[in-house]
Amino acid sequence: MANYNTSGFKSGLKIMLDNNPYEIIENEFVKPGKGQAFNRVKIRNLLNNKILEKTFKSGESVPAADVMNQSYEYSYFDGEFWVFMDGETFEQVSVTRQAVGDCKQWLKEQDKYDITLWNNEPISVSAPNFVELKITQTDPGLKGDTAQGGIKPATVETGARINVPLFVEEGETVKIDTRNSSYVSRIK
Amino acid sequence: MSVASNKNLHQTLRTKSIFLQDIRLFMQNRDIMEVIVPVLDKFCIPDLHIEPLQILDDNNNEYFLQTSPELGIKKLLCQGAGDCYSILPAFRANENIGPIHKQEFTMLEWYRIGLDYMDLSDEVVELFKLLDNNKHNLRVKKITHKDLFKKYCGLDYKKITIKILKKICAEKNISLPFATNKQDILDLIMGSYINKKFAKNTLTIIYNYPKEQASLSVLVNNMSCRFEIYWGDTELANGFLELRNKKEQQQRFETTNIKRGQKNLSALPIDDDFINNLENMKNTSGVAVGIDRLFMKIENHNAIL
Repeated sequence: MANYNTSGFKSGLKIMLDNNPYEIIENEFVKPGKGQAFNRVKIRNLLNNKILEKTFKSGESVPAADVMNQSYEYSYFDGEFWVFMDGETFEQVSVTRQAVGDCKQWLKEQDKYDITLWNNEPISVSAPNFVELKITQTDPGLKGDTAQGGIKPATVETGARINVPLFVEEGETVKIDTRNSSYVSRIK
Repeated sequence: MSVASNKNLHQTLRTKSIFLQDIRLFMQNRDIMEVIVPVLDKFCIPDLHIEPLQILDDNNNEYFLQTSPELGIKKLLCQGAGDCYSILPAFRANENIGPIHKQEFTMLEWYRIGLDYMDLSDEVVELFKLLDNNKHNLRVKKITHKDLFKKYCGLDYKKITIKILKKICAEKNISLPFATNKQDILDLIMGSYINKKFAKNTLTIIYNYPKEQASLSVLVNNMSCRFEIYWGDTELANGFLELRNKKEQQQRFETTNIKRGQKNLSALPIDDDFINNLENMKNTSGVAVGIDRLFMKIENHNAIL
């Protein structure tokens, strides 16, 4: 894999550090007077999402991380792994519980998800910002409460639990913002 | 700054043009004459941390795009030019391009014969205030490099060890690069911690630098007769009481080249003509100001144009 020089640092760049792949979130170039220049970066560990601050002397090089994102269709859960399929090559990948993370509550068969691969191994799965899912369970809303904008819990077809307005009923499809698990609207 | 429309662009360019005229008027009123010196030269000032852009022509002649007009102006001073200034492009290789860094920027540099460096720092402040025209009610603070590190880090200048500096960095949450030395850590603390403490519309004049950071300035009692001026956390100016000792200048360039070698950087050719005539230069103070940044500050932009 190639190396990145600090002069090419920018947010989004994937680098290797202590055998872990990281993504640069912020890059600050520090150059006091006639002194040594530094790059102070905020980086996110792509395996556990932990954020670190790190300083490099400008001019240093770091190895690039062989990380790429690819779109896969979710197929099924085999009891241990979440299995996805490449829609074109039909190649399958098995994703561990750690890698699938919080995304697992949004996984619906045949829908597409971005999987981050490091050295061709899946390390994380991300849901689209918005998903449309059917309500499988929710108590009937009480008439008259709608005006107060009341909410009630509901379960969707993937098993995720969200809060919905009282007028939403079982069997309806709703649009959800996966970033904060919030209800957006009903889908007719 | 994003240029929202042609009208805005025109306004910004006009303001910049008046800004440049005002600088020239300031100089004219003090009888400081404008000179144009080579931007491309066979030599450059060897610096440990400033990389010149190198150019080769078809016959393998080597040239450098100047990192500042210093060499060119000083050569004129050695020939008796008198008080003078330049507003010229300066170039830096390997800069990490960002809001306040570009490969090319404009440098205002001026030299005053017989003026002490601290008096020159006052003149810089006068210029800044004139150009700012009371927009920011600029306040001025002067502090020695030594007191600065004492004030913000509790560092005792006489007891600078790697261990103490590392402890300061740990306390201030400054992560350190892999291999590093004392001077580098001081630079890091300066550029990522101390400057962040400077009040927004205050000009901080830092003066009397440690001898390792003397560059081309005179040393008195192991202190460099050098100043820097920050506007808020942004460094705008660097000034020296100019070194005139031929032997010492030669030695400093050679030391810089040795240190460059240790960092796997190529040694840079030393301009013998400059060295040999250096002692003809009168007692002079000189200062360089990054005027793109100065304009950014005055106009409240968040990046240089």
